[in-house]
Amino acid sequence: METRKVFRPYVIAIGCWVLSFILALKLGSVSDVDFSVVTALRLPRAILATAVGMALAIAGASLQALFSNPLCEPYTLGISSGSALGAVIGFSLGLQWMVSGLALTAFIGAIIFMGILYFFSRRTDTGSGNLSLLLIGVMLGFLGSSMVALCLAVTDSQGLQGIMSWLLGDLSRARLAGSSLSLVSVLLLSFAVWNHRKDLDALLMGEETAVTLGVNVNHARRRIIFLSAMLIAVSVSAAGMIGFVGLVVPHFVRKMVGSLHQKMIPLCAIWGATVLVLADMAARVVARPFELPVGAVTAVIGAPFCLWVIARRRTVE
Amino acid sequence: MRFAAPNLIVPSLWGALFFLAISGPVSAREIIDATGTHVQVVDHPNRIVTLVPSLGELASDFLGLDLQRIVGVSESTDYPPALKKVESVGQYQRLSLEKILSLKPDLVLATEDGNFKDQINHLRELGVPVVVLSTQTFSEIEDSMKKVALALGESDESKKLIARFEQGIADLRARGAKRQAKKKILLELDDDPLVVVGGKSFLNEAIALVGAENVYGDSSSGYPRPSHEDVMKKNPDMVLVATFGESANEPLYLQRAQSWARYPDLKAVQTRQVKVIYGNPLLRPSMRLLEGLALLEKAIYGNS
Repeated sequence: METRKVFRPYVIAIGCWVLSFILALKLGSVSDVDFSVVTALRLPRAILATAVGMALAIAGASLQALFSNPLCEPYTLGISSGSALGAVIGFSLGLQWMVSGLALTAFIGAIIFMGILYFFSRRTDTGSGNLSLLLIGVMLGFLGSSMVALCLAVTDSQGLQGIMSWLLGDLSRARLAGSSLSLVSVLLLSFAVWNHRKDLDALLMGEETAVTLGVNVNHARRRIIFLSAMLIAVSVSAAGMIGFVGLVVPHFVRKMVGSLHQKMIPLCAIWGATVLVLADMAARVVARPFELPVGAVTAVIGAPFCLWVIARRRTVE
Repeated sequence: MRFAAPNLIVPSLWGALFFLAISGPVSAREIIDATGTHVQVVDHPNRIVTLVPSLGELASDFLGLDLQRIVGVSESTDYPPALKKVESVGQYQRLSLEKILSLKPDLVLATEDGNFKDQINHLRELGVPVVVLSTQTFSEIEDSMKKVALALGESDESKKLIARFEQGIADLRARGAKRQAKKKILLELDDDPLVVVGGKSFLNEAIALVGAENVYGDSSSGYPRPSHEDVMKKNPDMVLVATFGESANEPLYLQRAQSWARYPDLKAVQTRQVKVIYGNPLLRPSMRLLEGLALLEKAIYGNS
């Protein structure tokens, strides 16, 4: 009886993911399903959506613990934007020889932006829902996207074809091999984050509590920054900037199972995957036969949600 | 050891049979496209998909009455009018690969300068025969016509059409070369932001061909976005506003032409040389380009 209760949230989450995956294979921009379309295009896309959704939700949950602020996630903090800048620079330097070339520069961009964010967060009171962290993030986002625009203006535009749709978050480039590689790396990184679950729990309660709990705060922080930057780099280099998955998913998972990362991390992974698989399906179906960038779909749902969270915090205070 | 020989023979026999089955009566030809890729195309493609409007037009030129062989076109392919009813595979820079694949094409025609390289590569990885064409210069346009004709498996009739096109170009070129005073032209494609024809476009060559000069001919880009200040400095003799619609009389384009009156110091404005030109036959490199060039010549130099 006890074990059944423990496993119930996982079973429900995995069930939903399986359903969304099947739905994503069934529905798309053409209605008469052809087997070759399913295996060649929809399957790699659904796998990539799974990987990227997982990565974003876990990165969001880790950032929220790191800054002990529930409004954190890669997109709103501008880290996705830094990562995209890294990828664009990598692209214009001709590093697209492999998925990993772009992922490397995307990682460098993400870690630099995260460093800047961290530096400023130490100088201002940014904990527990404080909005100044979000403001720093918005500024970093502007900085990143304007530098991307600058890069696009000075480099040969032929080589950067299609980059605008990629910047808006786009899974249409998914290939089976690349998607599977992304999924494997995200699973490994997620496991690494899960290994730091105790540190995350302690950090969420604030730095002083973490120290009294015997956590080496600086060490734990560095590891978590590194791992989240890796997760963001994998997702941005594969699918561009997709916002708000990392905000919405951890929020609801926390509502369901509480804020212990033992359960949070795996559930965020599965729900993040489910949400992005469904969002990408919507992106393909809504404007048939045209496809929307999936980032537009997640932003339409996520941005009002973010506002709602802010408004609620204000009334509580 | 006695069994070793048959063990090898049986699989190799099957292998040979399989090889015969797949290589059997090969009814495909190899076409080397503008990207240098060797593309295997069936002799008589019956399920053709075109990924830019100009290639829809060009394929139709060669197919004549056989238009039902085109099963998919890019959005805003509107000429010949019969192509409006053909299924759309999306905008040329945002194609739906699902749609293309579900049409099971045996020939896809794309352009190097219009479509995205990644989407072309993606289609090729999925086994779709994509012939990519380049149309940045007139020699590339003539070459792309030959390649499209070859890919469609049309020979005699298309050879005549191409010969007629080449002759038409040669005639225009001869007339253009005789022009003494070359007018300086600005060819506007969009006004917000201002997009004009630059050096790396066949339209730059088109302006030169009819005996005029493109004020942005030295631009290293195909379609630069100059500031109005820079346009004042270049001070063209004539501004041509190209339309992207059914006719040259749409109010949108007339308004665009009128809005140049904001710059009364421009020579083109002072001499009332801001005109609207019907863009469709000019901007899309197909057989209709001859008609478009005639319109361009007429707009610049009148009927003389």
